[in-house]
Amino acid sequence: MRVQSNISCEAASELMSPFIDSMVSMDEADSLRSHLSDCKSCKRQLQSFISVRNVVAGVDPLPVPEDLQLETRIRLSHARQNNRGDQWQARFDNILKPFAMPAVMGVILTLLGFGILFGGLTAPRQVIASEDGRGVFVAGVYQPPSTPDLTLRRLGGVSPDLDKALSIQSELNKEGEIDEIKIIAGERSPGVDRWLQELVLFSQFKPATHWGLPVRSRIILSFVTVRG
Amino acid sequence: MSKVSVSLYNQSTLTRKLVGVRREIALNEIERSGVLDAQESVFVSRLQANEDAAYDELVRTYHAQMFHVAYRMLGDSNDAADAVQEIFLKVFRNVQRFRGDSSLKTWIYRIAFSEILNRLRWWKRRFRSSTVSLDDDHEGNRQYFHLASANPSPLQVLESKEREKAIQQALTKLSGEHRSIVILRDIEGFSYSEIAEILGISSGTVKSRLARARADMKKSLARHLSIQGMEL
Repeated sequence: MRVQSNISCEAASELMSPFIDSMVSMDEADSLRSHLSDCKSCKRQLQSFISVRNVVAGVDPLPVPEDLQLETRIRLSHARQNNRGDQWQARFDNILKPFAMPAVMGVILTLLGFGILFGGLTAPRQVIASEDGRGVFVAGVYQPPSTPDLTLRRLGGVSPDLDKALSIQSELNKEGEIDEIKIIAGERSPGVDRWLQELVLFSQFKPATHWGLPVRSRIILSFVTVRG
Repeated sequence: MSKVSVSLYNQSTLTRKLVGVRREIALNEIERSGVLDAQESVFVSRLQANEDAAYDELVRTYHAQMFHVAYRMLGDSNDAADAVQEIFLKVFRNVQRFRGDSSLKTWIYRIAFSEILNRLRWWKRRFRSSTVSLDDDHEGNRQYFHLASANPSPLQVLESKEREKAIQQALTKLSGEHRSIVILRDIEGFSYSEIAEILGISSGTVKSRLARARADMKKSLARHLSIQGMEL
């Protein structure tokens, strides 16, 4: 049965593209077919649409650059590795961030605590300076007393001839002067006593310090006579 | 009596329209049901699990197709190669969001055309002309002319080269939107609904844009077709 052409050339032209893709309804297809049977111009136009479609569809596939696949895989691999790293970093941050500040503070407090504790523990080694003049225990950064070599050498140079080693315990005040002296080893004699008095009068030490402040201290001095 | 005949005619028309609509729906359902079969679903899961072998397979399967469309759209092999790499990076970055609403291929093409059209818009903003030199045989062109015959005659080589040049030139004259549709339909063979999904437009828009694009292509290729002795 022949369907009468009832569409214009313009309408037929609009249907041509979907017609060659079979994307028109049966009615539209019938109308177009009917129109084409009467219109040679539109028939040629449809034929050219089909030719264009065939030429474009028949275009040869392009050769792909040889290194494209490899380069893409490498670039993708790097991105994936970075992503894995970022993921672990994010997980790490998420887990540890809430604990970061308390942990740091804990470490600082621990170090501070151990510092104070060790200061206290090491104080007995510095027993000479462990008490100030009022018997108050001191601890912390301690510098022992010292003395210029010349003083003791000079004193030592006029020291009596000793048969045995002489050890004395001296109490130093904050000025570095000897307040009290006590023989803890060796023999006493008039010569030794005189020499010790001279030592008390003339010796000058650099006082011990605690946190930079001079404190009382106790030192032990030993003397021996070297003969020959 | 005449009323009855009109009624019958209308009923017949309606029936045929319904058949047409049902055919469309059925086709769409077939397309959608075949979207993500079990094998593809497993493959997507492997991609989402960041499996090395899956990504190798993905690149191996799609890199040539991506290069073809990128080159047809951009008209430059270096830009096309760069776009291909960027497309795969975007696939990787977005694969976790892939829910299987479309086939993996359609989804990848959607990403590809999004990337390519963005590049074209960027070039347009920069006033860069992306025309293709028809005499371009320098090293960047890499002999992009395949021939059907293994031992083509000089005439076949010339014809193939001329056809390739004419098509690429005609494509380049189209706007980005029209070029996309011609490539997707006539070269890549996607259906209207798939093209609509890839480009994010309606099927009706696909139909009208494709008609206009083909009309423009017909004008551009007129000389080539007449030389080839084809109907115009």
